Amino acid sequence: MPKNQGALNRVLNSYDDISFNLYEGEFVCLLGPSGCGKSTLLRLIAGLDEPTSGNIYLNEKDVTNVPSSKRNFGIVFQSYVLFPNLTAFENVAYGLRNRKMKKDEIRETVMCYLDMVNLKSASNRYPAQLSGGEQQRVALARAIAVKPDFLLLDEPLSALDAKVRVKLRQEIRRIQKELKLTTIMVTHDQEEAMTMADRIVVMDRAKLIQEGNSWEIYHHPANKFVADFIGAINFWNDGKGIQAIRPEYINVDRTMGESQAVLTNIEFRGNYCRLSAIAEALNKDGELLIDISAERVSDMNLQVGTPVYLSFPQKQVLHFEGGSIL
Amino acid sequence: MRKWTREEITKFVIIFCIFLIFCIFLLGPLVMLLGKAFQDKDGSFAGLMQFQKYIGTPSMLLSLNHSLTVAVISTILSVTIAFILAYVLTRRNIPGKMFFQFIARLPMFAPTMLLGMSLIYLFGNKGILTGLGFVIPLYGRTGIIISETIYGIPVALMILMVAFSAADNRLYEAAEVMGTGSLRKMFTITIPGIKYGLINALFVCFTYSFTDFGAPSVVGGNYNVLATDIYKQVIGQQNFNAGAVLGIMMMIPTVISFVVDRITSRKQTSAISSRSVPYRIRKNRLADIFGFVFCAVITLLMLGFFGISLYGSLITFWPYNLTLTLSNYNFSAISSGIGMRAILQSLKVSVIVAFLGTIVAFLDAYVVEKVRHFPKLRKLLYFFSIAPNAIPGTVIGLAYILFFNPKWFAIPGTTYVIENSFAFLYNTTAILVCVNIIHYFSVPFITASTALKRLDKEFELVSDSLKVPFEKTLLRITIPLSCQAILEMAVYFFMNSMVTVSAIVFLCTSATQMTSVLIMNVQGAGKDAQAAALCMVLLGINVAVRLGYELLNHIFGKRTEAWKKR
Repeated sequence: MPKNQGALNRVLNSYDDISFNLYEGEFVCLLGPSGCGKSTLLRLIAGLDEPTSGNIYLNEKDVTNVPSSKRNFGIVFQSYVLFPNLTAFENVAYGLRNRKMKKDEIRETVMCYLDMVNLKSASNRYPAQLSGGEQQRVALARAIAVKPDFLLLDEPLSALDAKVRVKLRQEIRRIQKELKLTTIMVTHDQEEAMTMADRIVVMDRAKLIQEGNSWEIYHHPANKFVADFIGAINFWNDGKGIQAIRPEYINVDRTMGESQAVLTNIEFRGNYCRLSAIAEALNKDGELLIDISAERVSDMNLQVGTPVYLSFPQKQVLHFEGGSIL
Repeated sequence: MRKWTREEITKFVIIFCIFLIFCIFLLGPLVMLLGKAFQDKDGSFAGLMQFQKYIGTPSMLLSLNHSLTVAVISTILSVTIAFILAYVLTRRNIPGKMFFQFIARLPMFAPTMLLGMSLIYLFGNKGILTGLGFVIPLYGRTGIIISETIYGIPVALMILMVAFSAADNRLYEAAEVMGTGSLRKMFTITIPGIKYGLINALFVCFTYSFTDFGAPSVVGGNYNVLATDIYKQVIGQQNFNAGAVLGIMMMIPTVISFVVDRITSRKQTSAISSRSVPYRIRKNRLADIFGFVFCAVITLLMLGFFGISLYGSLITFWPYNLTLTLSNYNFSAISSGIGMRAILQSLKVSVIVAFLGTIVAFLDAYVVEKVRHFPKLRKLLYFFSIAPNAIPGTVIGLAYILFFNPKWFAIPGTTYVIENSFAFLYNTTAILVCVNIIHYFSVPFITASTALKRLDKEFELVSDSLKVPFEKTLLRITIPLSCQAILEMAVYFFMNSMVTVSAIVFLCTSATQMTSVLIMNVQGAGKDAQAAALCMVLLGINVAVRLGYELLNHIFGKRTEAWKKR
C-alpha cells in the first residue's frame, strides 16, 4: 500500500478504467507486485479512500458517493487490527452490539463464528494473548459475523509464519465456500493467489493486465510481465521474437537433445531440484532454470560442470511479440 | 457533492465548536491585543507610534535586555543540570531513581514565588546563609537566574529523559563489536539520538524563564524584566497601550523559538522502530558512583531549598522569634478571611480546568488525528492547539482584559459599535477557568495526539465496515486505550492552574481571588511566613495529586497489562 499521500495520489491519478467481474460467491484475487495499486483499489472499493476523480460501480450501480459504512462489506487487514482492550468474544461481538439483537442471540452468533474459525475455547482471551494466526482468525470472524455482502481481505496472511499461512489459507477458503461469500483478496504472493482464488486479476502499475483462473494465467500469460511474475520462467530471443518456457517443462538428458548446455549450479529443494545451466546456442543472457525431480538428478549423476542436452517441447514454449528479454 | 452522513455532520459540529472556542478565547483576545498596540489612548489608529514611543525609551530596552540575559543564562544552567540528571537516571545503574526523579520535579508543584522566597530565607538581608557570611547580590539578576534555573530543571529533565530512553541498543552493540571508544559512542550515537530532545528542552526552558512572572516579582528588586513591566504598566498605570506593545515585544522571542522548534521537530524521524531493542545499561562502576553523587547533591539542594521555606512557614517571626508555630497556617486570619476562600477557589478552578480542559484537548486531538474529513479545518485546529505554547501567560492575561472587559467594541474607521456579548464573563470564576485552559492547552493536546497516533489507524476503518458509529468506538476503544494519557492531561491541567500567576493575576478580583495571586499580595505586604505557608499548601496539594496519579497509573497499568502482554 502506498504509505504517503503523494504516492497514493500518483496511483489514484494513474488508474485507467479498471473493471473486472465479480460473480456472487466467487473468490477473486487482486495480484500484483507491491506498489501496483492493488491495495488502493481495494480501499476505493471499500470506500475507505475517496477517488480524486472517476467513479466506482458495484453491480452497475454508481457507489462513488456511498460512504463506506453503507457499502456493507467486511474487511480483514494484514495487521489484524483487533481492539486490544476487548476479548476475542467482544471483538467479534463489536459489530453486532448496536444492531437490534438480543443478548443471547449475540452470544450464539459470536460463538458460532468463533467455532467456525476453531477458536471457541479462546473466546475470553485478549488479542495480546493470542498468536498471530489466532488473531487473524478472530479478525476474520469479526468481519463475517455481521453478514456482509462481500468480504475484502487486504494481504491477510502476509504477517504470518509460512506454516500458519498455508493452514489459514485453506481455512479461509473453506469458510468462504461454506458461506458462499463473495470475496476480494489483495496479495502479492502468487502462490496464495493460485491456491485460493477462483479467479485472479493481475495488476501492474495501476493497470489491469490479465484476468482468469490460475490455470489460464499460469499457462497462457497475457504478456511477459505476467509470465515472469507468476512462477519462474526462462526467456530467450530466437531472432523472430521472445520465446519462453517454465523450468519444469525443459527436458534434460545426458546424451541427446536440442541444445547443449553446461550445469552451473544445483539447488536441492527437497521435493525437486532447480538446476542452472548455460546453453551457448540460445540467444540468452544468463542462465536457464530447470526443475527436475531429485531422483532424476541422482539417476543421471548430474553435477556442476556436467554437460547435458536440453530439449524444449514445442507445445510448452510460449511466444511473445517484440520487446527485450529483460 | 454528496449529502453528508449523520456521522460527518456530528464530526463537523464537534470541529466547529472547538474552532469557535479557539476564536473566542484565543484569537479574539490576541486580535484585540494587536489592535491596542496600534492605537492611541483614545482608540484611534496610531500606526507604529506606540512602538516608537516605548522602543525609544531606554528603560524598555533595558527590560528586554534583562529578560533575555536572565533567560539565556538560566536556560543553559537548567539544561546542563537536567542533561546530567537525565543521563544518570536513564543510563546509569544507581539506586533510588524514582525518589531522585520525584524530588527533581518538586519545582513544578509550587508557584515560582516560592523559589524566590526560599532564596530570601537563604540569602536575603536576614537570610541564614547571609548570616554565615555567604553574601550574594540576591535581589536582581542573580536571584532571578537562580530561581529560573531551578524552575527549568523539571521540564528539561522530563524532555531529556524521554529522549535518553528512546535509544536503540543495537546501535551500541554494533559500535562495541567494531571496538568504538565510549567518548566516540557518546558523540556518534548518544548525542545525535537525543538531539531533538535537547533542542526542545532548550527552547522550552527559554520560554519558561523568559516569560515567568512569579520569581521576578519576588526577588527582582529594581531589575526590571518584561513580564513584570507589563503588570506594572497595566495594573499600576492603567496604560493598556504600553502593555500591548510590551506583550508583543515579549512574544517576538517566544514565537521565534516556537517556530524554530517546530521546524527542527518536523525533521525528526523516529529513532525507534518496532525492531529496536531497549538500551541495556553497561557496567561502569566509576560512572555509577559519580552519577549517584550528582543526583544526591541535587536532591539535597532541592530538599534544603524547599525545606527552608517550610521551616520559614512554621516559625513565629523570622529571624527574631524562632519558636515553632502553626499560626501562619491559620488562613482565615489572612486578609480578613480571604485565605481559606482563596485555597478553595484554587481547588475549584483547577478541578474544573482539569475536567473541561482534558475533554476539550482530547476531543480536539481526536478530530485532528482521527477524522478523515475537513483537512483544512483540522490543520487550522492543530495550529490553534499548539499556538498557546508560544504565548506568555502575562500576554494572554492582558489580552483577556482587552477582549472581555469592554461593554462594546468600536469598529475602526466607522462610528458603529457592536455589543460585546462575552463581557458577562469578566470578573467571574469562569474566565479564570477559560484562561487557564487556553494558557496550558498545548502540552495536554500534544500528549493526547501522541497517544492517539500510537493507536492503529485502521480501528476507525474497521468500525466503519462493522457499521459501528464513531462515537461508540471513541467511547469503547479509543478512550479506554488512552486512559493513561487522559489522566496525565488532567493532572497537568490541575497542577498548573493551582500554581500559575502570570495570566490570572490580571483577571482575579477580590471575590475570585486564587491562592497564587494571594501569595503574591501577602508576600508583597511583607508577610513572608504566611506567603510561605500558602505556598506549602499548594505544594502539598500538588504533591498529593501527583502521588495519587502515580498510584492510579500503577493500577491502570496493571489492568492494561493483560492487553499488552505477549
